[in-house]
Amino acid sequence: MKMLTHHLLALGAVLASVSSAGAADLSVVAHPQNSRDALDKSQVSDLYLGRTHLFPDGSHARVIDHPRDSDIRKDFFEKVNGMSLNQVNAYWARMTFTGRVLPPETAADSQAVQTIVVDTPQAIGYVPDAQRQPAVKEILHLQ
Amino acid sequence: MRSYCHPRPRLKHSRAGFSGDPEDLPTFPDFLDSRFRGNDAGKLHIPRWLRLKPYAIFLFFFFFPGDGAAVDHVGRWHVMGYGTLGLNADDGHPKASFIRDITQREQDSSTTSSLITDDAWKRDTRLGLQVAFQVTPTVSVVSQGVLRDQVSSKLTHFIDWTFVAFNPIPEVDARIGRVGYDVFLMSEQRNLGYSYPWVRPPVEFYGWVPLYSVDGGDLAYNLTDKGSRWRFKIQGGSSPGLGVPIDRDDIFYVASDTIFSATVTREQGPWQLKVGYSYVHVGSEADPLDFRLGLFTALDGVAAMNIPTVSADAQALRRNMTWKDSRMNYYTLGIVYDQKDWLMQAELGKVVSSIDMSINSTMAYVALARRLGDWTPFVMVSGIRPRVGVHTASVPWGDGLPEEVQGPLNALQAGANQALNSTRMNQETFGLGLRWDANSRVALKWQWDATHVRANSHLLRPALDVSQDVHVNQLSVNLDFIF
Repeated sequence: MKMLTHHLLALGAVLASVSSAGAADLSVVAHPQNSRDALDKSQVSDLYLGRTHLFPDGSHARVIDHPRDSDIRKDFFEKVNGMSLNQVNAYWARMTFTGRVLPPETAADSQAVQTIVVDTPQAIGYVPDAQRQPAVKEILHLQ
Repeated sequence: MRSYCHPRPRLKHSRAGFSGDPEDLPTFPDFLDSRFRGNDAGKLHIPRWLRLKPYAIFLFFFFFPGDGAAVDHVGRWHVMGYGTLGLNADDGHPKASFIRDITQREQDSSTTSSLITDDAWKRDTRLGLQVAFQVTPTVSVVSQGVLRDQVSSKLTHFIDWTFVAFNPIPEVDARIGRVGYDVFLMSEQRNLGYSYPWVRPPVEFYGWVPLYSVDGGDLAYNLTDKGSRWRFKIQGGSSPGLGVPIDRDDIFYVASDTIFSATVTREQGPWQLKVGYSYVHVGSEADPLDFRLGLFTALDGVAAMNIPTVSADAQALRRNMTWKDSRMNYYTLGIVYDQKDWLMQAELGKVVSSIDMSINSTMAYVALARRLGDWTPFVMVSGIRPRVGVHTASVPWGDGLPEEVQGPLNALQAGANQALNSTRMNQETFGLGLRWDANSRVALKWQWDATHVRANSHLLRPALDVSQDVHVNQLSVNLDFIF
């Protein structure tokens, strides 16, 4: 009976994690030495839309994004500025092909994002809050 | 392409708004130029392998590998592109065949009864390729070429921009070289179908604009204040020119020696407001087409005769046909509301020209789109109205004069009026369509357009018989993609 309860709890946890996968909290992360402890949604949105390349202190930001079709990228933009992925993609097509700015570089997954952020003082990325590593600093929490 | 042998004047060429001598156009570097030059020394040819074919676009698109974004931008080349595969069908009205803009040659609807002609895939189909190199975080080099249906085969007319971009300070960005003409909301993205819901920018607003590029540079200052983002931009230079078809054989090259533009853009939340002004100066006379020279000579002759009223009329008509030192002023106001579910876009524009032979028009459009997941239905209304009346012979020049001069004078007066009327554009379109984002790089669109071309209007109508209104229905299916 104890074993069955254990299995049911584990199954419940798996189902809960699956059902909430699209709505998981996200952490916008930066290098621990980044002078800012927090950014607001609008500042992060401006960085990810190429409207600025600078952190508020004037230092150059290296913006790391997730692959174009990834679910986490969809969640991120919906949470940070309410844009759908189709909107974001059309926006970046316009910015890129009018020669104004190149889109952010991409990393393969959250592990790769954090590897870059840990190694790069000016980097900024986003990862599922549950996967955030102690070596990076959360500067915005997105629910 | 200067074979000015066509006997019948087709006057709508002058609707482009301004002109220039093709000899003045900038030439592509010789080492490249010579590779694309055919046997005709005065004519540049796009090689057969480069000419736009639907299957070539599919193959290129299908096999091209990559995501434009690299691991780190600085010190790397970025090759990326976009395209549209389009198909149009209309109800084949013999007096109004569809063109996307005035650099395209109308299909000869009078020779076919088919809804889908051989040219049906050409109008919207295009392939753009962009190469960029990020030299430092603040300096980049960008070049973009676009293969599209246009009558000009000059290689330089397929290079939309090649520039060096600088960010000397965070608030300022500057570009030097061939830059995209940027005055209207969609000036720089007309070819980039993937970036907007409708199949093409509204023809009434953008179809007559013969400027894609400016050889010179621009400077923009960006400012954020109380949640608003401001962008002040000036742009200056000259036009590299474009070819505008006159008839089945001849091309009229348009260019300008001076272009100056200024825009102010404000973005706040989902709203964007853009105000633009552009000054265009034409320094040289239009191509000396035979029929045109004949008309000029005859008008000058009548003006010199000192016939009361008639000579003054002839002088006024002649002055209104003189491109040399003519000026155009473009004014535009654009507004966008782009929230997650809704997109509204509208523009109002006005062109004031110093001569009636150029374009004098007011144009506007309103478009509304609703995003429903991957589906985006939209509706659009656009129109253009001439700002000058129809030139008519209210008092025939020959009246009261000896019989032997009556006929020639009246014919000259009618010909001159017809030439001046050839730049009038008076039509409106109602469009209804749907965009489907098939995936993150491909969108499929359908659009139905109902166009009312009014009498004495030349934007969509190649025929000289313009005495009656015409109604045209058109269906377009476009596949837009980026790679």
